[in-house]
Amino acid sequence: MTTQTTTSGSPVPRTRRRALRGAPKRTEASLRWWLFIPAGLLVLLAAVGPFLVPFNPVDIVGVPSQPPGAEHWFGTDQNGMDVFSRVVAAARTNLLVAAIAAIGSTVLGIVIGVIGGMNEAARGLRGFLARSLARAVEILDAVPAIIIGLVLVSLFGPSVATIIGVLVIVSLARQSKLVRTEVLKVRGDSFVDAARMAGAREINVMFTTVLPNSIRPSFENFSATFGLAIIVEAALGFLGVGLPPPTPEWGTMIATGAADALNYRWWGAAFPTIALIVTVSSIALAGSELLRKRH
Amino acid sequence: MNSIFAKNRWWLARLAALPLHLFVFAIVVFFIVRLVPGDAAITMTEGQASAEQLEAIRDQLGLNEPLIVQLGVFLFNLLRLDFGISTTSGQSVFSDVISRVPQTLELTLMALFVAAVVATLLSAAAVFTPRSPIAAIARGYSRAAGALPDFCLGIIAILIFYVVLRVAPAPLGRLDARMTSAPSITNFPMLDTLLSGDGALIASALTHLVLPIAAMSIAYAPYLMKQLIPGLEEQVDAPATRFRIASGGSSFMMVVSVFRRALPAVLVVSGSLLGSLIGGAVVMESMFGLGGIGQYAVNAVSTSDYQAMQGVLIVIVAVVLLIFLVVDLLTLILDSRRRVGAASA
Amino acid sequence: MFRFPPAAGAPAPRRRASRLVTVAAALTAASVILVGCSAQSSSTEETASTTPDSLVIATPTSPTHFFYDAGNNVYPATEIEMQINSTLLVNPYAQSDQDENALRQDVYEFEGGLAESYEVSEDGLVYTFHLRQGVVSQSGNPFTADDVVWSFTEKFGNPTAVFQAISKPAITDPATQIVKVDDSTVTMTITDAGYGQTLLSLISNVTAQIFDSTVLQENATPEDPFGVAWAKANPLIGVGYGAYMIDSFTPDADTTIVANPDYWGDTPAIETVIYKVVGDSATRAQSLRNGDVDIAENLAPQEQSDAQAAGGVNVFSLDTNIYSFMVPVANKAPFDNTLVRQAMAYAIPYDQILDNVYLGRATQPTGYLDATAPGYTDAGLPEYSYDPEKSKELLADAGFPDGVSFSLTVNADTPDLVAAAVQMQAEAADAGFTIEINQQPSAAFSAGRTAGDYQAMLLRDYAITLTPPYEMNLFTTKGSPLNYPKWEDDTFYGLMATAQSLGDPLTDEAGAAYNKAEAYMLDEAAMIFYAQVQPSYAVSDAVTGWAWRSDNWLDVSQLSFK
Repeated sequence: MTTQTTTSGSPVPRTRRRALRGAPKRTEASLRWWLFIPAGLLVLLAAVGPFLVPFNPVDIVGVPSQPPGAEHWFGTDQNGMDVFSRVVAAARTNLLVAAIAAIGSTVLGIVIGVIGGMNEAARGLRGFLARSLARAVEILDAVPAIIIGLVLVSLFGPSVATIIGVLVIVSLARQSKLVRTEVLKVRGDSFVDAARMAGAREINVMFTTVLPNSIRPSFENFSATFGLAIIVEAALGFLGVGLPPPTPEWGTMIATGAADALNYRWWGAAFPTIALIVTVSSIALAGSELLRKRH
Repeated sequence: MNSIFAKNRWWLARLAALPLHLFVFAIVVFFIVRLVPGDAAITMTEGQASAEQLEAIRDQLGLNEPLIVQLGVFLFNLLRLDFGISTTSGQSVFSDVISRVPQTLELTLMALFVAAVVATLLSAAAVFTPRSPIAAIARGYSRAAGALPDFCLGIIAILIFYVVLRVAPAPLGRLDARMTSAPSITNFPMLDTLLSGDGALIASALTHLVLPIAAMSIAYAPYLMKQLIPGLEEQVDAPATRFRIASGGSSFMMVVSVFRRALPAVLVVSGSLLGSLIGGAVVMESMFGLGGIGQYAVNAVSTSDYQAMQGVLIVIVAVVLLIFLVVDLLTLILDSRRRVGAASA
Repeated sequence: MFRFPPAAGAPAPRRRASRLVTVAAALTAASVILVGCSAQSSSTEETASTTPDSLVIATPTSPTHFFYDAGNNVYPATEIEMQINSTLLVNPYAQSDQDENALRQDVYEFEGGLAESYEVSEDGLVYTFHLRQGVVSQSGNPFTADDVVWSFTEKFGNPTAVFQAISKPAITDPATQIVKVDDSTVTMTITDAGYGQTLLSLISNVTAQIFDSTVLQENATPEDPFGVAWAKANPLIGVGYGAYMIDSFTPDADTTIVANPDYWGDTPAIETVIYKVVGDSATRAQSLRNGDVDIAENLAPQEQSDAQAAGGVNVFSLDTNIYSFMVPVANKAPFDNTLVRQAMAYAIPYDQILDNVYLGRATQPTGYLDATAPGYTDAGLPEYSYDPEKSKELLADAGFPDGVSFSLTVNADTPDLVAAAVQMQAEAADAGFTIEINQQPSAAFSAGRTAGDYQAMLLRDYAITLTPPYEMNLFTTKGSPLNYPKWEDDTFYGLMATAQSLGDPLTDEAGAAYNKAEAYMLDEAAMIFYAQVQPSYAVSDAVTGWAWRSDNWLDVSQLSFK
């Protein structure tokens, strides 16, 4: 591993670090593959789950608001649909929407953050454009997510594509700001100058030297973005502009089940909430293992 | 003198450019709100008006003017901080908005403050006492960033503390139903209550805030910890720390220094969170009956109230941009390398 | 992952101390919170017991102003406007014969309001109103005939007043029809004696509130000739003659109204009423059950039955004029075909909706006209039920042997309609209809509804003015903005003309004629009524006097504590 490609953002060579720290050798050197099991199971569930559920997730299969029991493991919702089948069936929609939104916003955010951050202090048009980009992203970040959602859903109708668009726009700004902050920090570091002096082209410096040292916070934030996707869907559901009913989708299920929870009928909202927590935590677990500094 | 100005030029320039940015944003907003489906005249009359009536209402609202004239009027009035009259309330949008922003700002600042305290304590425990059970809990909790929706926690809190245990006050606003709120001096409701010096009022206001603030801070602390824990770990490992340790600096000073260097990323997230909550706390505010700017924005959209939509968006964006500027300033104070004006090559 | 090396770090004892501090701080915070909370709950009870003369109502949305004719009257605004204003006549209340805890407005009887009495000319065309003497507005100005004439002039001159659109054909031109005779006498002239009942009903309703013309004229400007914008922007002004006055108003939080000492009628039993905005219906229900509010408005049927089961709370079971219905829009495919509309009427799972959505707090309506009207008959009305086979047959007859698909639009703000749409979607599939649910935010919904953009939609609505001609014309008048079904059928208009020519609509003869028109409209499935919904209020049993009104608002002046 070279200094430049470590994700730590620190220019200190690995060997020196170890010596300084004097920490005992640990068995963490290799990838702890078992930490990826939860995330893997989730993906598997999203892939095959909808074929295995006991009931049609969008059909009325029983008396509404039945508590969990032998027939309906997670109970039935206020429409009389099977909550277990819906929670499982929703995994596909939710993982797909959240994954596309999180990846899309992170990639776009990184590109915007690096390009903007590197050129901001430049003179002339390049600097002006970079500064305008930074300001535009900042303004975008300042517009409330719910309003962006309301406006886009009003314009394009409530569909998976619209929701993904909303989520990318909403998360993009934060991801690119995290990258930009790091870029501003590392761009003056000696290893960047060293790369330049070694004759690297500016674009290469940007993407091979600065980028790997600037993206860690945005990766740290990736799983949060994943969860944010589902939360924004729920918030849109509270305002009645989520995916059209009865599409199985955790956010909308939480939003519609929430009122019932206060009347002790907790299962309609509780199971999708648990699914949300398990999903985000699994992604975060896998993500932090991927980002862990190994030797 | 000159050098002080040069040093501070970048942020002074940004502050000076803020109105310009807002002006450009206002033009964009003007067109966007008009793209949102809905018709103010139909909303006003609940559809119970003839075509002639609807035309007359649109005339009154100036909606029949050519778009360019409407834009001109809007921008001209904007220069005088006049956002027009809300079709819903009949009040000046500016006064509507200005009276609501502090409500939300106060609530989110309090929630973020508590979240920051919780995040700092737990992250410190996770990094400095890595083998303790608290550290394990803290790390698990930090992975829950984005997994704990504030409104779920809000409902759970209401269910447990209000419905089942009955120890919390009813989530019906900032005060007991039969209390009258303190005279409005600052527009910040809690601050006004404190200024009134009325003990019963203050107690009521504080207890009404316990559940929403607890729910919000539990939801937001992991976002901060997610940046803080790796940041602290990295800085603990950094040469500066090693230098302090090697030169025999006190461990307290070391912890402070580690925090100082880990804080910028956390500040960015806090700023972003605060920014997104100015308009995004709406579900929580409505759940606890607290009112605020988010509710106003949502109502403006759902009643096709163009003036209110424009005004509320511009003010929210202005407030949030100011928050971002302050965050950048704080970042600069903590780590001068990040100064935008610093030479890069 | 890096862990802090014990050897190089801070001494162990100190670390432990700091952890202890953390735990202690957390414990302290928790105990402070709990002590605060329990102190709070006890003080709430004290306050409640020391001020029994104030009533707290949990209401779903915040009013934005209190001048009805200024438009944008969100839910509780209209209800509060009703408390602070008066009309010329009023419908009296009587004990409901369906619910022992409820009063019911008798919409076919009229008593004196701001007009002490009225008489009708021989030909039934001229109504003379004798105004009450010595009445003053909440601003202290004496009430005269000028206020009456001015109020109706405003309702026709101000485009945001809805009265002008719904008062046709009884009142079309106030300048010629409404005349001041002297300071305490006003006449209203109609062109057809058959409009008389509708006229009386119209002027008894919230849309016909009388305002203090002196104050409004003082504040009028050339751009605002009736002072409407001024009245809208100044919520605390007293331009009404009602039982209550606005005392304080905090948008998005609460509105306090207090009894009007100068009210012309009986002083209300409850001095102070606080409307609290509580957005979430489950929270409204819970705060009623916990005793923090006295009345919860607009609850879901499930919350009502839960609250009732928990005890201490009354909900009311009586027939109202509120209908949930499907509007198949008749000017576009597929519902331009009568057979397809009829097939739809057999594809709705009526019983399942009543059970699953309304939990029995609604019934399947036999007809659409108010069944308590004198002269009413339900003879010959079609009886629809969920019959997938029949629906498929009708679809095949209509030329759709493979079924029909359409988009069903619902307003996201009406959860019961969204739930009903889900039930319909699931069951109508077996009857040959593939339904795609199109959920719209409320502003987009009302714009699309008026523009006629949708293939079909679900509505929950009611006629406030309950006379057969008014009810029948409400959603069917040619070119009317309220003609949501866009169903303009000449046979129907012929039947209506026949009925209207019979004069008084409450005779048996007229009743039979309106029944024919009603039967035709339902046969044609111009609108498909699937639920007649019971009141959505829940009231603490310490409060008596709840009354059903045709406008479905709560009349606070009738309430009292036990």
